[in-house]
Amino acid sequence: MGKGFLTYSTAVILQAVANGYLYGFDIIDITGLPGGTVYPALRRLQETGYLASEWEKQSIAQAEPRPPRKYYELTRAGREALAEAVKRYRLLEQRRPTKVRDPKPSRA
Amino acid sequence: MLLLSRCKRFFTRPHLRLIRVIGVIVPRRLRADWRQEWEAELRCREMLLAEWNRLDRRHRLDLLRRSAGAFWDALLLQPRRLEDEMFQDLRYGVRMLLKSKGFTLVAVLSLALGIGANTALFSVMDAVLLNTLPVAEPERLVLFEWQAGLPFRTGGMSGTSFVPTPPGTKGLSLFCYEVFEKMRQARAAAPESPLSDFFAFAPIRELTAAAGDQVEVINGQAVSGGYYAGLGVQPVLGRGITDEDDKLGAASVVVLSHQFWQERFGASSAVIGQPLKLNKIPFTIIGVTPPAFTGTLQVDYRPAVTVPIACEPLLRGERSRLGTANQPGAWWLDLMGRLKPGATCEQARDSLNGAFQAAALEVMPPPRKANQPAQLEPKDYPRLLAESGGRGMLDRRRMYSTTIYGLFIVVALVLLIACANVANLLLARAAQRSAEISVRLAVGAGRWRLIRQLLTESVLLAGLGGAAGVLFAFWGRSALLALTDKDTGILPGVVVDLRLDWRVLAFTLAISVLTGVLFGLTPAWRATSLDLATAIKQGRRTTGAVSRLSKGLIVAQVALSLLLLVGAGLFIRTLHNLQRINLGFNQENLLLFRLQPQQGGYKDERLVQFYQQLFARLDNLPGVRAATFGRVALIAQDNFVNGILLPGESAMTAGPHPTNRQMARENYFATMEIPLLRGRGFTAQDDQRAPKVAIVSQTFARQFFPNDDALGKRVTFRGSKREVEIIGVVADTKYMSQREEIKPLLYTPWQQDGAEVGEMHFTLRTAGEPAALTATVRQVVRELDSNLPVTEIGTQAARSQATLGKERLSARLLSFFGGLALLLAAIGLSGVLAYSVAQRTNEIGIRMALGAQRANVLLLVTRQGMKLVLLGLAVGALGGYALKRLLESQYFAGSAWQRQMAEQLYEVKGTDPVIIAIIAALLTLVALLACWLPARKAAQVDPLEALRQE
Repeated sequence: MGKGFLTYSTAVILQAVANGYLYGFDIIDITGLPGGTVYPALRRLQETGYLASEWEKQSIAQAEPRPPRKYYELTRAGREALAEAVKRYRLLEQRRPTKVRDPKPSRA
Repeated sequence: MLLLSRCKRFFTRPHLRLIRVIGVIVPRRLRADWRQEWEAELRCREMLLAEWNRLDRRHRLDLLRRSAGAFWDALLLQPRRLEDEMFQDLRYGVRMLLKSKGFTLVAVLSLALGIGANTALFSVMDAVLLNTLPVAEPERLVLFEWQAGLPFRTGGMSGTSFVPTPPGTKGLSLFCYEVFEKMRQARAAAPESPLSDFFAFAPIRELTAAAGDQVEVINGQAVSGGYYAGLGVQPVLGRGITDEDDKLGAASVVVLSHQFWQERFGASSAVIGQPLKLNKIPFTIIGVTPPAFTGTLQVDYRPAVTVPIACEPLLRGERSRLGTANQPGAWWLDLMGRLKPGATCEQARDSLNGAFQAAALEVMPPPRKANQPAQLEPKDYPRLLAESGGRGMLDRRRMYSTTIYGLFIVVALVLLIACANVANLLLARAAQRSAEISVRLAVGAGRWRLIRQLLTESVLLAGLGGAAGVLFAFWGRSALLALTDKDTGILPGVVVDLRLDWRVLAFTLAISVLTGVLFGLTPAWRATSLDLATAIKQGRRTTGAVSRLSKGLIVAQVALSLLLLVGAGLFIRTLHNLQRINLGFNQENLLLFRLQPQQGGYKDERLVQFYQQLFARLDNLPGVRAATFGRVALIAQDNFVNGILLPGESAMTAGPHPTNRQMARENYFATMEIPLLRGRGFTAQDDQRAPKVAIVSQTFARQFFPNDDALGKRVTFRGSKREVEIIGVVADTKYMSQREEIKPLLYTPWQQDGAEVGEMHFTLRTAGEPAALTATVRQVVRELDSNLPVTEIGTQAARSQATLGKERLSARLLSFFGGLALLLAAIGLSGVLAYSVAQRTNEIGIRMALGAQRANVLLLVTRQGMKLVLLGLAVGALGGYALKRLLESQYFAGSAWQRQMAEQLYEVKGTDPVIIAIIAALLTLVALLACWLPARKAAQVDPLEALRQE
């Protein structure tokens, strides 16, 4: 995937991360895209350098209790790419969710 | 129990299991991470939805669907595999191969030759033995044949048939029209018949086709009305032949093959409805068949035109194979049917056997000889056989199969030798790498890991060999063309489309991987079974002993090379013997060509006149010393055979006395330079009005009149009842081929042969190079009749050489592969010795320091190599002898192998001591050379240098 060009669905995913939906499951839910699309896209975005990822600490996951999550975060390049994509895809603006359902978890 | 519990576990939370399964294809490095993320996703979802056991079906399915999404994710990670171990192995392998370029080149080349030969031959085998017809559901086609006791009699037979049946019976794949008709009626009358279609077809060779002003001789076929419908072949243009066309009195229609349509009509769609004259009879073109469909006849026969069987008498005239009111027809038709879904060949056979038997017995001709019974015993009744018809007619395929398997044995041997060779080189290299390998083992590499690495290298070698082999196979196309040449090939007429389809590629890939594992496994196994402590201590100093396995491989290579080369020697000798043979006439400066004016409508007086006019013109051509013509071309696999009755014999009691015939112009003997031994030759006065006369060959006279003078005796032709008086005896000539035994030959003056006169072969004795007159001759014929094609024009010498084509090809093939095997064996021997010398440098140095001369060292190394070679020769000779005994034993009694073996050689025995001695000497010489190179290197060892290394 060349830099500077994002498909619509990739841009949607990127925007979801930007809006605070930080792990795969959450992104799938908010975007409505299937897992078979979201995960490969996340990997590609990470490879391109738009996203960075980190595993959640085991202790947090155990306290919940649930399996640990992998959190994604926008990089600077990602933010720029998203801004570019928003200009191109006007609809993205309208997709911006009005409320954040799951507040950004505390990251120790 | 274990399985059950596993299954249970799988189904308790299938979405998580699925992730584990899919995870297998994720590169190992990324796998754990990948699984964890997906599992987190699915578990989370599961938790949100509540516990699995309480989920309803819709949610369960949803979870499964989500987990299936992981598959796409996993697929996407495939390129990351490049960093995986396998690719590490591959990269390392490539580096190792590049490091020793010479080794790689030799290994890849020898493998490529072996694999290439196998690939090329596989495409032949695919075309002849495996390929199914390009028709709808070929597996439902059934092919009918029959077998009967020897006393069962048929009328005339015409066509290709090869049906293996038990001894004491005869088998045939041909039927006569009356029998076909009865079977067809029986099928139509039985609504529960297992056959949905039933049809007949047969070749009609050599039709003179004229469209516009272009005339050529083509091959055709006759089919019954249900042919195209039964096969499910839809013409690309127009329509096929139907039952309506196949009726007496119906309009004459013809269907063109795609190739003929393209070549002759430029693929014009306007041909439908156009006329095409076949043997001067106008036919209307009604359709063109699809390009892939070349008919259902023998594998070497592709008809250009197809006509209804009802039209056959129009084309063949009086020689029609359909019966008349007072004479049953010939056995010439091939029969096929299409099974209804679910029906079997056996059901089809049983449903028609009764009708076939009754019809066949009905048309059985009355006995012609006193010792033939009028009524057959039931055990000799003909019985129908049914075979799968999906590949078309099988007879020619059965005949060719032994040749193909024989060739396969040869190329498989070559590949085996190549494998042995590469294995040997790898063994030597593994020994050189023992230091590297022991270090790797010492620092903790697993044995399997190392074997995998080494195997990757050998499969890589084989893969390269396979790729180059496919290239070789394509370059070797002309060899395949030679193999399938119509006149000189050993698989004449087979059309092999050498293309890279998936079957050929799959075959090449399979044998490449197989050979890679075959020659790589043992060296890899040995290389990794090191005693670490010793190996590391010794470092580069090994004992230098060549392993027993290496020696065994060399012995095997030499033995196999000996076998192949002796085979080549036998064929070369055969060819030589046949070329030297006295043909009985002078074949230098003869130009031959064939004319079939009877197909252009010439008959009786007009035909005689035509021949006389043409003769006069040709005889007067400048550069022509004499012209003549005769019915049969000599040494061209052409023949014309009649049964004769000797004086006092009657048709009922006489033996068959088959006699070769020639009808010739009166100057035939003078022109061909066949000496007249006794009596007189023909003259121009021996014509229709004169008493009927004949001249016989010496063998004829000796065989039929051993105690008497043949001159003045009268013999009678069985068929025509014509009686002729023998007026002369000429010297023997070979007739069909150089190889055949000389059989009785009877000449008649052509003017007395009346209606029997048809086609003729003209022969010109020229003053200079005969081929130079080709264009002139064509011109002369065209001036007389522009619609008459001149065929088979060429010199007699070339024709005789072409008749030896099979022998020449066999000799060439075996020489090529034998030479290849020898070369490979020599490389192998040289390589192993060179390795041994390199390892023994120290030892040799010490020997020389202690006073050994260069000659001693040379001898030392040469002796080491020659011991193996001599052992190999002994093993090869014994193996060859055992093989010969095996083929002669009763296991192969009556098989095509024995028949073909007997047919192959000429005036030379399989155990010819001279040939074996020559080949053994040649092998020894090459082996000496192969030994000498490393031996010289050993002799050049500087003792000081060698000892300093210590």
